[in-house]
Amino acid sequence: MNHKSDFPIFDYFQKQGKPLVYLDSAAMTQMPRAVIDAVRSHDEEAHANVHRGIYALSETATAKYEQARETVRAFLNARSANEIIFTRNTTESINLVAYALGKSMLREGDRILISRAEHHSNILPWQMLAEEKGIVLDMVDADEQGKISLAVIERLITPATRLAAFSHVSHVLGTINPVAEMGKLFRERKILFLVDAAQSVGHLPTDVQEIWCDFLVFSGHKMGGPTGIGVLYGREELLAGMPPFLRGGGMIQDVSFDHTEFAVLPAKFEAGTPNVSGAVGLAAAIEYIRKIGFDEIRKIDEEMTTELFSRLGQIKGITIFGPHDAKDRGGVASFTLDGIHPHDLATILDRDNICIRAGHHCAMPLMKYLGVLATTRTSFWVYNTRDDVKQLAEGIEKSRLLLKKKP
Amino acid sequence: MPDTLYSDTIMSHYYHPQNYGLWPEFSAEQRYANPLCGDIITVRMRFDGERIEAVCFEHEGCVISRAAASLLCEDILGKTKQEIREIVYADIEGLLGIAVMPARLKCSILALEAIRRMV
Repeated sequence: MNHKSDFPIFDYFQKQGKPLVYLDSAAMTQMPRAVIDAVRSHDEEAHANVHRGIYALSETATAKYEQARETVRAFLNARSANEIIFTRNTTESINLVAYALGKSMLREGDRILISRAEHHSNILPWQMLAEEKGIVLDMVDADEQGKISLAVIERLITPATRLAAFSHVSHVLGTINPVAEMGKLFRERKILFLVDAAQSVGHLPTDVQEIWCDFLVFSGHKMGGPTGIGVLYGREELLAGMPPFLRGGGMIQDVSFDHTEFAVLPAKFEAGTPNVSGAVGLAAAIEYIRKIGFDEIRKIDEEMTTELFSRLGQIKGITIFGPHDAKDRGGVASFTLDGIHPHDLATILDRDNICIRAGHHCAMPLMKYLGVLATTRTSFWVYNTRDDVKQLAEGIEKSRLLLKKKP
Repeated sequence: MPDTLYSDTIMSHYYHPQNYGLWPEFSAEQRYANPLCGDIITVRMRFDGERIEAVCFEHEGCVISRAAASLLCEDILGKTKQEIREIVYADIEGLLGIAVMPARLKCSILALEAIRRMV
């Protein structure tokens, strides 16, 4: 089934006579009409601040905002809506956790376990704790197939390991990490577990109780939602014991000049006016995903990955990183091409309106480990078809011919 | 039709960069990386007083950043440090003979940024 018609942007470029081949969904997915419409109708009919006004319009806005929270709760199978904190994005969610844990539970000498394949946003906040609090960072390496084994993790766990932070799907290698098994391992050892679900939540079913994670973070804009809306899921008893990240309006019980009593969850972590229409859009994206179904999304990801390996595998000098079996991969794949720099490839593909990502993908430690300066990354979502992959392969051949003309 | 971005001049400097390869004696050395894509250049310069007597570089990266480095190193030979301080991004476009699209600006100025840090 072709889902392209659900996304107005493809129609727009079709009419321009420059059909869009969009292969950068790991950075940002396109938005289905259902999301665009939900945001617009909220802006047109229910735009008001939440939790404030004593008037019907504000109550409508509040109800829609809280309904969005409930939609997220059900989507993640969280126990309570108090466990769902709206943030701007994955990066803000991880910074919130790092800041609040750094101020409360973590002590000098405590250790945090991450993998070398993490996005900078799942490295830098922990690095801040290393610099400011004397916390030690331990780094797990993936094997040559891009997989992180439980055995390697176990070898790096020490009695001082307090927290582990791993992505569910690697944003460069595409590997699906065994988060449920990791969750069990960490829970047995009383290690807090944060899952970066940015690349998985729009692709794979996510059940926070099944994963047994303590925190799970993601962004709306990588799952069909608008920009500027993200989520932090946190176990209620943990969030309750953590100090607020940002302070200001909307997150207090009582304020005097020298003392403030903070509001209960989830308001405690949502200082300032939140992105109400963003939350409404995110809820619409979740509904859209539900309608398509994870079975169908998974089928598309596997089909695209298989097509990618079969078409690009025939190109001389290509190296595709990560697992080779589509079953072990999400909707992301990175590759290098001998003699053609990713930037040049991206520029030449762009002339045919083929959007791919070139660079270090905010994963410089991984790039160093792979021994490359940059890679080309292609990533999929529900609108991609085998023809998109075919056009990518043809574009690569075209680039090769163009750049091979040695004057 | 000739390609505007990957022109003969640019491809020629990419495949046959001038002043390429680092020699051991130098007055100044600068390593500079493009934080967006990871392209890396090392430039070494020899000064004769205020004047650039020699310049050489090594580079890992794309066509644009390498061609721009080759063209710029050719261009600055014999110039004074003050003249080099006055080079602006538009001058690099002049050397390349193209208008550089915003997404590739950082590539085109990689060598210039390294050289600016030595004069």
